[in-house]
Amino acid sequence: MHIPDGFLDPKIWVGASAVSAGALAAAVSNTRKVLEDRQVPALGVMAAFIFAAQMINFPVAGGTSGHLLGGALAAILLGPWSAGLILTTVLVIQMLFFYDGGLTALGANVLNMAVIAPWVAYGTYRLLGGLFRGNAGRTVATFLAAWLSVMAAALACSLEIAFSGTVPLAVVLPAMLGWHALIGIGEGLITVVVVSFVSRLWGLEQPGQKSYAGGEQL
Amino acid sequence: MSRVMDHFLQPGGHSGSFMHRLEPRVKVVAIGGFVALSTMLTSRTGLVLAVGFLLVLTAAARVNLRHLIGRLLWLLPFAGVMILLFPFIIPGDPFWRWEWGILTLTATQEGWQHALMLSLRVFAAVLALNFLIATTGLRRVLEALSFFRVPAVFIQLIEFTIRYIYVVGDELRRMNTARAARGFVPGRHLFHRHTFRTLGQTVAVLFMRSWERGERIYHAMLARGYSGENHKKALPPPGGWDLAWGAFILSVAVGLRLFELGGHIWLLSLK
Repeated sequence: MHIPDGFLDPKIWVGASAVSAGALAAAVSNTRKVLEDRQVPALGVMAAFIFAAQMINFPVAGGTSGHLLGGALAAILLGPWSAGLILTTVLVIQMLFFYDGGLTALGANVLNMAVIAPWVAYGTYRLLGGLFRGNAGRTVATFLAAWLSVMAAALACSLEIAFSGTVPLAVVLPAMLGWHALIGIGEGLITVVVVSFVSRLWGLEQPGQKSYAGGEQL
Repeated sequence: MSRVMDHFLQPGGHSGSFMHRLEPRVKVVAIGGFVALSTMLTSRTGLVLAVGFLLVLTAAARVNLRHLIGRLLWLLPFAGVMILLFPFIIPGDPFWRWEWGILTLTATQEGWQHALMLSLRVFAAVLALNFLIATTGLRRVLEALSFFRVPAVFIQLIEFTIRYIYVVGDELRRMNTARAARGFVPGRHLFHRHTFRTLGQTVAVLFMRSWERGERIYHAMLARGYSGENHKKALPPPGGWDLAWGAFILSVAVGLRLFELGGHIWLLSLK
């Protein structure tokens, strides 16, 4: 889903960069308030974790595989602001050293994967977690949060590419959403396992019930 | 993975070339501008010239070629898929048609040219970024970014993350080995419950270990007197030679863009 250089119109990439810059500025001040001087060590190690977790491939169908995006995972367990900073760091490193995503497209990639994905996941999780109680409710909320976060990021990515006139919307939209609907299932399944495992260890019974040491006030 | 990681730390190639000695801030601005302008190029000539110029710069910097070629090989499948796919999805003049019952496939001239243009843009951008990182090294790129008022927290986060990618990556590799040793064979599709439970648990354990490691690191840093402050290094102003080179690199990009705009006006006036 990383958009390379040359796929976006200047209007789109400048606009997306401006929105992302605003979101990141808010994320910096919000995480500083909560994490104080552990902002860098705590978030840095978690960014390294997301980086490693994205290298784990899961089977999709017929020998193809996908990998975790981690937006929902980070947003649910660490909070959406922290998730934004963590994923942005991962995207910058991927851009500089792995040529995943372009320099001019960085703002758009940050917007899709580090702003839209975590916030959609967090919003869905809080909304559904409030509606359904209990373990089953949380499982459903987590799964849908992860699936929707992948779909929302894919949708934003398709719109940016289509409005830049690179690929017609009628082609890019079904292709991106169709493939990511499958990837999102894998993302959802893994996120469910991780969230239930970690909540058991941290003693979180309900979403939003308790905050844990050092994290954002959930 | 560790082979890739080595490139994080030291600049590649012959460190004695004058491209390596060029002031990092000048290089960051020049290459950033070059990438931004070259992604706006639309003509094949302009893009080929941009790629050619970057190849000359790369050659002048005596960057390790094996390393560069290894990175560029990553692009080939990507460009190949686009060139195969785009003729069928971009409307335009058909140059090839295939009918089979109700199914009609039409390949268009525009589609193939569009794919070639996008591939050239990506190629130019990758060459430019590779030139910057290979001749400057991460550390000095980050120093330059910090001079341009990128908030210190981002610079520190990037440095910190790169440092711990090794650690967390090694942890993951050990866990993969252990999983394989227990006889785990991943399933072939999304509905293989066991696969997802196992992989999910791997991620979960990795998450907890990383989180706890973060706590330990933080305490160790406090014990060494960490206070969350950063020390910004004052950089001397760039010399005239550096600025001249930066201006030269940027002016090539501006020149190519103007050449294209001028070319269009010239073509229009002929019609």
